[in-house]
Amino acid sequence: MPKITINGQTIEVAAGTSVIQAAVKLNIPIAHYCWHEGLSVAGACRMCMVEIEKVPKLQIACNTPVTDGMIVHTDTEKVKDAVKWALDFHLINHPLDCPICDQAGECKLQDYYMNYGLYTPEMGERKVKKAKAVSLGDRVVLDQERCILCSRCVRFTAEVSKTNELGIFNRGDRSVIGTFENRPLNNKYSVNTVDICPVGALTSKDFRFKQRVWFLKDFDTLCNGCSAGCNVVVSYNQNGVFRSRPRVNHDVNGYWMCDEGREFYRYTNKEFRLEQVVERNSELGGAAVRGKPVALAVQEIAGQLKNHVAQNPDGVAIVLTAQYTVEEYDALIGALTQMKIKNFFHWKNNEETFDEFDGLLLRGDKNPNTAGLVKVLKKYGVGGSWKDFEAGAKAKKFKAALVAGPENQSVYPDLAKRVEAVSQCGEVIWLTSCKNDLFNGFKWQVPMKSFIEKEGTFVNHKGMEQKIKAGLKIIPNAVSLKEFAVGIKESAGVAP
Amino acid sequence: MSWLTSRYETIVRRLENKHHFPWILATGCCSHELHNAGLATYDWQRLGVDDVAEDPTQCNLLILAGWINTARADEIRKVYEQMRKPTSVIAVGACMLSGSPYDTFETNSKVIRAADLIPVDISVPGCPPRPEAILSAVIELQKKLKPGPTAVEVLYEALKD
Amino acid sequence: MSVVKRPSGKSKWYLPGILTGLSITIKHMFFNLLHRKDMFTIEYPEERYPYGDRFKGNHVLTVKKDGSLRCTACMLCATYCPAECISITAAEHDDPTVEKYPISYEIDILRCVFCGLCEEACPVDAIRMGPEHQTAALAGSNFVYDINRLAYRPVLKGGVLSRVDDEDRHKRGI
Repeated sequence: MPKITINGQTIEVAAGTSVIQAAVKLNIPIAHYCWHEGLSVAGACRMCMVEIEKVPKLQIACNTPVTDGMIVHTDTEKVKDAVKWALDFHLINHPLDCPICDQAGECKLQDYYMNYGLYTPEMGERKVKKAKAVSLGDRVVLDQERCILCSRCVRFTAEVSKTNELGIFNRGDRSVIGTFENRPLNNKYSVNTVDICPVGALTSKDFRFKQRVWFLKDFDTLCNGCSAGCNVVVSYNQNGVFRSRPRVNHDVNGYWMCDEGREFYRYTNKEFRLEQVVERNSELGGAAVRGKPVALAVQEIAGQLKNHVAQNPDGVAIVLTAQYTVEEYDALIGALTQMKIKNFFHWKNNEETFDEFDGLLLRGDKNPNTAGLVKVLKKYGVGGSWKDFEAGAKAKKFKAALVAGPENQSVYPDLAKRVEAVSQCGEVIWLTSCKNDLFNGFKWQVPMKSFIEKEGTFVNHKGMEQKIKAGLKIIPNAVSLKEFAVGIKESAGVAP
Repeated sequence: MSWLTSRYETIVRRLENKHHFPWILATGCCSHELHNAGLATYDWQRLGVDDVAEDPTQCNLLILAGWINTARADEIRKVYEQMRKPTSVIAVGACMLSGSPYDTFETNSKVIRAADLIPVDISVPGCPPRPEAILSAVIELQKKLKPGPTAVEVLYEALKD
Repeated sequence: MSVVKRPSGKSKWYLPGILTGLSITIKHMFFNLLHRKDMFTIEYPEERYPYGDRFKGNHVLTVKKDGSLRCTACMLCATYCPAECISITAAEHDDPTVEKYPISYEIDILRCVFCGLCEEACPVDAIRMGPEHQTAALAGSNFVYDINRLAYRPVLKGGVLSRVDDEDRHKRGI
């Protein structure tokens, strides 16, 4: 196990580690553009120059393996000068695009210029003009002038997504990134190239020009798109939520995230959300009454459920989707079983494709907590499938139904059919975070908190439990399923 | 007799339009510009703002300039209620109109807006606004208070054609 | 033993003091009546005070040579504004050389403190503090100035040209 000393700090690393990996372990910053932990080494940018004792010229840290007794310096004048000149060469053809570039605020060129640069440019020649705002596919836009040819995106499409859509064309200072004819960048992980691009050459069509990065705050959570449970960082400010990007987690998702999961942040924003309790009042001829305080609504719902249970405990059906946290299911099923309700049904949206896996990250089960729901149902000894529910509803067995509806309605493509089946029950209480006109026929619609407004545990397909915590409040009226359950318990007068 | 008193009302109303008795509540930087609007270089006496009285019960134009906070709210309300009706209010300055720049998202300031306390007639934005802007506020106020035409004038207009 | 100084001598007769004061005032009055041109009162709205070139008045959004807005919606002015009065929404332009432009640029003039930091922050000379002083208006009227009012109001006669032009810099090869 070779030992290496960087700036006076020693560490013992495994054989084959490069100097820059050792520096990352020691938390010593070395400027780099083309090196990425999840990709192969290119050595193209020449920014990670370090001074190694007994070696006459500076070496790049990303491709130099550690030898025993190596002493490395990263803060000498020679190194700083080399980094400054490498930066200067990267900037000689870089366009003056900071005002219109999305990467401003998180751009490595800006950051390293403030640390190592601050020079007066001596370049007297004209800059090379290339194509701007080239659409590479459905989700990514390329600006060929801003590219510094680090080739991270090329290596990503070659090694990670294995689709080989990007390449470097032409030579010298005319080199550009591009796609081949009739083969746009449309694989399922394309927006990861936007994350790894250190400059603003690749931008995401979804986030383009929406907000400046310094207006946004980040917080860590999990993606609720499928059962993989990728770790993400969600960016938001007082105007809403704007994007989600992957976080590093070697046990779950590595360094990447799929494109589908990047869409689900938008369903937490106000435009899609149910903001108030909606009640269909039979006395008013079926008109919708909005805006009842949630506490009052929960009390009335508890009263109605109690009445239904008193008449016939089997006449109440509870349908659950696997998009809520384990604690919420625990509280809800616990409260309802104490009220003597036994008919719980697990609504699986696409059972046939549940076990699909595309080899990298995408799972067929589009719910984040299927395993968690199954566990809780088993704990209370209840649980049926959607087919049983449909049969019972058709036979008019259920006089009331409480449905914990899906948060991401786009992954439930047959929602209309299922809503029709549910409306065969008598009184339906639909709990959802996003609004939909299909639900307007139901007796009650109660707004639920989205996954970034509550805390809890998701269990992914491997059985790994990961926690989410509340980041911000978007809809003040929304409640989590746990608060709903607690409210029902108190109003129904059941002993805790 | 009532004809005479109604004529008196008309005459008084016509004269009141261009003569205001100010009561000035000025704090901070806006007070410099406000006092300048009253002094010789930008004279508001030309426009009719005259007779600064000793107590508010004799005044009918309230000029609020500068900043106000929750501690002064009661006093300003009391002054407004004592003044001769109908009271006109001119609010001068960014602090008075929106609390800015003390009232941004991160701060926790006690600066309040004039519009939260009393109904404002004319707003003058600026920090501080030029004395010309305050004079233009008086002109706008006179435009607003301009009384409608008398019965004789309406008849005259109708009979002209 | 009272130490209060009572007026004595000439000032015991209050009338001479009053008359001297009155004579000064009446002298000024007759001077002003006869030499109206020497009075330093600026008779607004007919006369105006000549402002300097750097006067910070109502904002002006400059335009490019073809009349479209110079602003590239970089949001530096909104970030720097200490009163948080600028709201910008950016959008994609069809012309790839123009890429980004604001579809809405609003300044809440009641919040603005006319500090000039937005003019300082702008990298493309898109916003300037103009030579008109702030205008008073009725309390209920619209005090949020949009692009129409900031760039194209009648006083500006079609738009003020910006001094920073992208075409020149592209021709020079930067």
